[in-house]
Amino acid sequence: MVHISRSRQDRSLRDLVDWEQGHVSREIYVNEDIYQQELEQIFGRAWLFVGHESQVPNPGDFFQSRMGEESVLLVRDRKGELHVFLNTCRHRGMKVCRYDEGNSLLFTCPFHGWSYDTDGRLVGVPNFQTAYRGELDKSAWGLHEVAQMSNFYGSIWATWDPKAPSFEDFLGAFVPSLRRSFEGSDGGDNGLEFFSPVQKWRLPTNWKFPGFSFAGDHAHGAMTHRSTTVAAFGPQGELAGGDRHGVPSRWASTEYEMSIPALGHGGHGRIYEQPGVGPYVETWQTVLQADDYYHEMRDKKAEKYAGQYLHGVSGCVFPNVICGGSRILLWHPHGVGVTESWRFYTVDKGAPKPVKDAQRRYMMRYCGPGGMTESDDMENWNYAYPASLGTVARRLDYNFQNGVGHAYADDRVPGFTLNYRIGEENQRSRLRRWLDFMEAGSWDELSPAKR
Amino acid sequence: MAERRNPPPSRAVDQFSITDSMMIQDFPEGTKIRLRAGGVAEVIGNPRDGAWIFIRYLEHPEDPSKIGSEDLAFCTDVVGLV
Repeated sequence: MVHISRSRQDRSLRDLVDWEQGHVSREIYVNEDIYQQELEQIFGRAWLFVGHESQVPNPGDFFQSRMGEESVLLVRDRKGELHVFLNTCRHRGMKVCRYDEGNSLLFTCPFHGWSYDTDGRLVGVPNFQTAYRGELDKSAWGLHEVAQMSNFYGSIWATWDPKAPSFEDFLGAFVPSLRRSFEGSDGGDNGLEFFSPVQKWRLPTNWKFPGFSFAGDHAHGAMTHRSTTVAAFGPQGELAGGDRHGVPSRWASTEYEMSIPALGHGGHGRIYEQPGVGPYVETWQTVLQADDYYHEMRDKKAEKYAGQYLHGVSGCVFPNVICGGSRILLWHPHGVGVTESWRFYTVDKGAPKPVKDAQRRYMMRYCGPGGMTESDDMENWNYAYPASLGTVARRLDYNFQNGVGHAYADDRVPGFTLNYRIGEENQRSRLRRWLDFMEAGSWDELSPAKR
Repeated sequence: MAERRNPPPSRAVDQFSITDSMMIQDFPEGTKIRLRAGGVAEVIGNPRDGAWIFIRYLEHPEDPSKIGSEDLAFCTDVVGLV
């Protein structure tokens, strides 16, 4: 257990994060002790995104993922069941798998040869009968498995904490929104597959810079992404002034910051003035097959949701993942000043290959390490971190006051708090939940249902 | 003198070098192998990691009840082809 240097008792951690007034000390982004506490208190207890079932469709398939700083394996065992294991041999700690993905009958440690079946059981120990005299209790030394795993409409989530609430309770009012993030474009549940491989790269910044601002910082768009708007590289070209996101529907709607302050989830949300799904907006003018395909899928989705309001939000699941918009953005902590950024791109399972190719190419030029929008974002995150490290700089607070005191509830989106679309309500919500996790001794204190 | 609870392995089993192992990585299913501890087995699966193969016992002089059962054999457990 990491020593918690800033404890609930002396309230000093709370003094660093005044989310109600929008004052946040830079210390929480640059302090090594606080970072170590995050690994224990947040990444050791929260539900974390691991991967998608489409990445491991066959028995023996595996995908090497991460939870916090630690490598884990998402594995479909020989009976077809999914597991998430810590990627470390129980003998001397070596990684039992160093491939990003693949298929295997066994995970054999290259150090001394201890070998694990795809269900995590220790099945092979060299010299078991001779050197160990057959006395080693293999059943006690299998791969370390997560305490809980959830398959949420094809997406795989896990937690190390056996006392964590169910994943649905962890999400709370965010369940319908996240469910729709994994729909196909026809509105069918679990309608996506993930492209392979995953894009991975490291940023010289603290994980909270991207993790707490993405899908919660509308104010940066006009400034940071001005060049992408001028270039009109969005999916609809110059429609809507070259907006990089494109226009999802021409139906009247209002965009808000929407968050669940008690849980830390939230993002950019939209409330429509009429039920159902609006007519398709021409999007793939340069790939006509894709345009035809998505037009057809849109019509199917309109049939499914006829008469239903589709208010909701795509955004952050606390602490470090953004889901929606044909991508999953994941920011792994990799040291107080290093973030390992992962991008998963998604597409309809049943889409024709030319549509999948068009989707993949668009996402790669849109985001990720070579994408235009994230190249813009990285400039900010990567320079803000070192500029906050100095002896004098770290005495100063960050300002999160945009919209303080103007949040409100709306019956149309129960459970959410709304604020003007250009604001910092989402970031304050994540900081509030961050403080909850950092201070709480157990899930008894963290679960709103038990408050 | 008390009886040793865990006698060391027999000399026949123990007299091999740590590098004295078969190159099992490419053994296909159906290959019949002879085991260092005695006995014959058939390869029923190969993870191709060069360390382990899945086997089914065909002969097991020390424990005939194991004939037909499945196990893993380490590369140093295999002494040759049958």
